[in-house]
Amino acid sequence: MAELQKQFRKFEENIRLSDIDDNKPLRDKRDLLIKELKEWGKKNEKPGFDWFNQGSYHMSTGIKPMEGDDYDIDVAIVYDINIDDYEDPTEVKKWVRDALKRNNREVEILTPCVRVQYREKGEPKNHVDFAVYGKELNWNNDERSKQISKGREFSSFDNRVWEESEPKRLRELIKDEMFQSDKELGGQKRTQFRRNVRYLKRWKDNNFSSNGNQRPTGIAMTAICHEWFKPLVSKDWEGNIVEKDLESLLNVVRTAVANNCGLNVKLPVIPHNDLFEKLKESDHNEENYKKKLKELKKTLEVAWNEPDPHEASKILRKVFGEDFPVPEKKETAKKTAYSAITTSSSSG
Amino acid sequence: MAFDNHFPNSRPSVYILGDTTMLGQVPHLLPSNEICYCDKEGLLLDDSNPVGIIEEAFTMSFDTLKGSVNGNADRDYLREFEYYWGDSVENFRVISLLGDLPTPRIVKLGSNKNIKLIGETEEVIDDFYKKTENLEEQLEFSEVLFIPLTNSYGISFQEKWDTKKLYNVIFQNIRLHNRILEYLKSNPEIQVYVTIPNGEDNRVHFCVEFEKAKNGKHPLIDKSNSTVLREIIVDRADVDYLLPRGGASREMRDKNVSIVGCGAIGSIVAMELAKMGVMNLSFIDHDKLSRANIYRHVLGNSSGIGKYKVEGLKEKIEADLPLTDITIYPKTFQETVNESPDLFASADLIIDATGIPNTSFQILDFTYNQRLNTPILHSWLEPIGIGGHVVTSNLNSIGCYRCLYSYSEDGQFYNKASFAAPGQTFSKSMFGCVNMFTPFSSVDATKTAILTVELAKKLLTGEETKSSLESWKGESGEFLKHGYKFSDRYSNLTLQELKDFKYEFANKTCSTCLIREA
Ligand SMILES: [Zn+2]
Repeated sequence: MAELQKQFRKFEENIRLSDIDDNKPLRDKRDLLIKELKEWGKKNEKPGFDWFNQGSYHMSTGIKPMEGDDYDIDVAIVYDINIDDYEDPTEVKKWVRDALKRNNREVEILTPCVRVQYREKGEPKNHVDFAVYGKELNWNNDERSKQISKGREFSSFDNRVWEESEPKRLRELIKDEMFQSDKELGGQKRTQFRRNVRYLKRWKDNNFSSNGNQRPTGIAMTAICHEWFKPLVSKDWEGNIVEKDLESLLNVVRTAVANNCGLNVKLPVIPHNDLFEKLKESDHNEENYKKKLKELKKTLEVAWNEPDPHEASKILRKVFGEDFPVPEKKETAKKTAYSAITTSSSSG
Repeated sequence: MAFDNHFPNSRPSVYILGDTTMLGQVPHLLPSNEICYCDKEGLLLDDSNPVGIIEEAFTMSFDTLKGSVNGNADRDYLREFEYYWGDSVENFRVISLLGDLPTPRIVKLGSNKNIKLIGETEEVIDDFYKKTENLEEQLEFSEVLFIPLTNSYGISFQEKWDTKKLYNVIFQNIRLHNRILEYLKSNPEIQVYVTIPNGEDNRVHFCVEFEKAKNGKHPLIDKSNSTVLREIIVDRADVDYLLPRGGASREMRDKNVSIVGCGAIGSIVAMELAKMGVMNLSFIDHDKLSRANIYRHVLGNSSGIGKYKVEGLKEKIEADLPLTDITIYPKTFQETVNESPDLFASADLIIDATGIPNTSFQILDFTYNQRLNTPILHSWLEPIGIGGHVVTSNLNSIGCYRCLYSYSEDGQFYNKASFAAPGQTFSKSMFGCVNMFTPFSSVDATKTAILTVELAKKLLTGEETKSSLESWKGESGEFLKHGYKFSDRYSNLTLQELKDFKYEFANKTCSTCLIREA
């Protein structure tokens, strides 16, 4: 069994999307769009709205996109409206579309959101998704729930609905609630969870094409981890925090494989929707996904059994890609300079 | 009922006024007619309820008397033997070095006009006399007949004891009647020393002088006339009595402990081991007491600046606890073992309180080279009150002092048990390089010494047989204020976790442990 924790941590460092350094251009675009939406609303006397980031970007589980992949920012726009006043939920989505639409800007109403797509040489480069919400009010006219506007402009009446959705809940579930009550190493367990999500997300980006619906979603990977993650963090006698990411990831993948590859996993918060809905529409995609997940399990097991970190890392590269670091062979690793004379802090 | 001026924070005394003869003599009724209804010590009185105290004092006194009249008088008399025994006016006393010896025998009495000492041999008496009394005067020796009773029938104090009563008590409760009778016949002037089992794992001791023998007959066996005894109170100074009670102390007394390093920690450890009843100690330390030491060393200033620490310590312990036998080596460890290679031959435990890692390595290597399996208990102190540690070597499980040493990731050779992060220096040279000021305080040394003594006790009694690493963890504020950094062991482990991990410090690649295992 090789000691690979350093490699896993470096891998996560390589793929982690940092709010500060990465994604700046897309965040600038997001800010511009929101400003335009506000101005348009004022001019056209539409109700006001609040906004916040949602999705992986906001759950500290975001990863850098693969070279050439279209990637996104998810933004929630919560209009200060009573949904009872808007029988057609897409009416509100159309405000967003109309406000942002320009000749040289691609804005489209999709089932769950309004997408602003940016391209480079005709290829999708990145996009901003606006999920649009209204409010369900109680008898006291206070907000009882947020309701997302679902459906496209020309969907059938039945497919245009307000659906209860709590965009902040999932984030809270993962950011604040997991292991919150663990006095011991609660924080470390939570970050191990996030690393697991990131490993799985990079695995799916690396192994499935973004074309069509063959690639499982990031939120599906998050839900699988939420369902089966067991922290493997402990301390040793020297007070070192001992993390076992390989074992904990292997544990998640094994359990997923044993449970129909996680294909039955639902969003752990309202509306508890099926996260593999799109992927399962194609038998081929479903079989392909299962095959790859089993491959992942097998690969993790082989790596776990490989005593040489160099060899084990090369094996893991096959599933995680080039961002997984391969340490030098033992013989070639350079030796630390040891000092034979040091100070002692003891006294008798 | 009588009250002193501490009442209600002291219990009242209860007396019977007038004639008590109708009660006869009963236990718990003292010659002064005071009823001892409960001990004076160890009480908690509700000082807000003086009336309640008075009421209960009466009830308890009444119950005590009722119990005395109806109860097991012998046992109660024995328990309060000291109240009844002895002449309250003259108060004759003898210091006894006799323990709870099992069989009758002749013992020695050494006396002069200042002191009377009873012991098994003249040497024992002389030795004690020299250690405790700074008197030039010689002792004169005579013989005493020692009689340990096997039972305690007929012990009562209805009346003052005379020779007849004593005869009955002795011969009712021994097996070797004839031997004792013979001896008394041939030694009519001899004094008698009696011990009685009190049913609580110890014995009542008393001594008796008799009036001059008439007709050449010992008064005790002279049936023709019964005479009054001179009741002599025994001040016990023997190990059975003086050493701390409880199972461990008996095991401790035959143990032999060597202490290397008699600085702040070692000197307290030495003191405490002696108090715990370890009677054979040896001290190795070449250091002399300097003025800079006095705030951190048990010897303080009184033993004299410039004196070897081992010398001062020996004097202090032997004066305080004269039963302790101490050998000293005022040399460095290496010099000592060069001259006395069998230094540890009879040691049951070696305590390394040098706090100097390389001396600790030397001690460990020395035992290895000598093929000694004597356990070593290493203890050391960290700076600025952050903690102290003990670790054991040479036990039957893997794990030793050397196991703790390793290179850190940046190549520092360091002690992994340390609470200070590696690579920091704590000796501030205040007066140039010669005189180092080390920020180690007396209370921290004491805490470490306590940890050391507690583990030493477990090792000596066999309660602990595995290598362990134990630490106490101090406050962090002062340390951080000086800008120092803690190790992960300090920062990440709770006190409970430090305990939970105490057996897990062994290093599987430790050169010392590997050789020992093989
Ligand atoms: Zn070792």
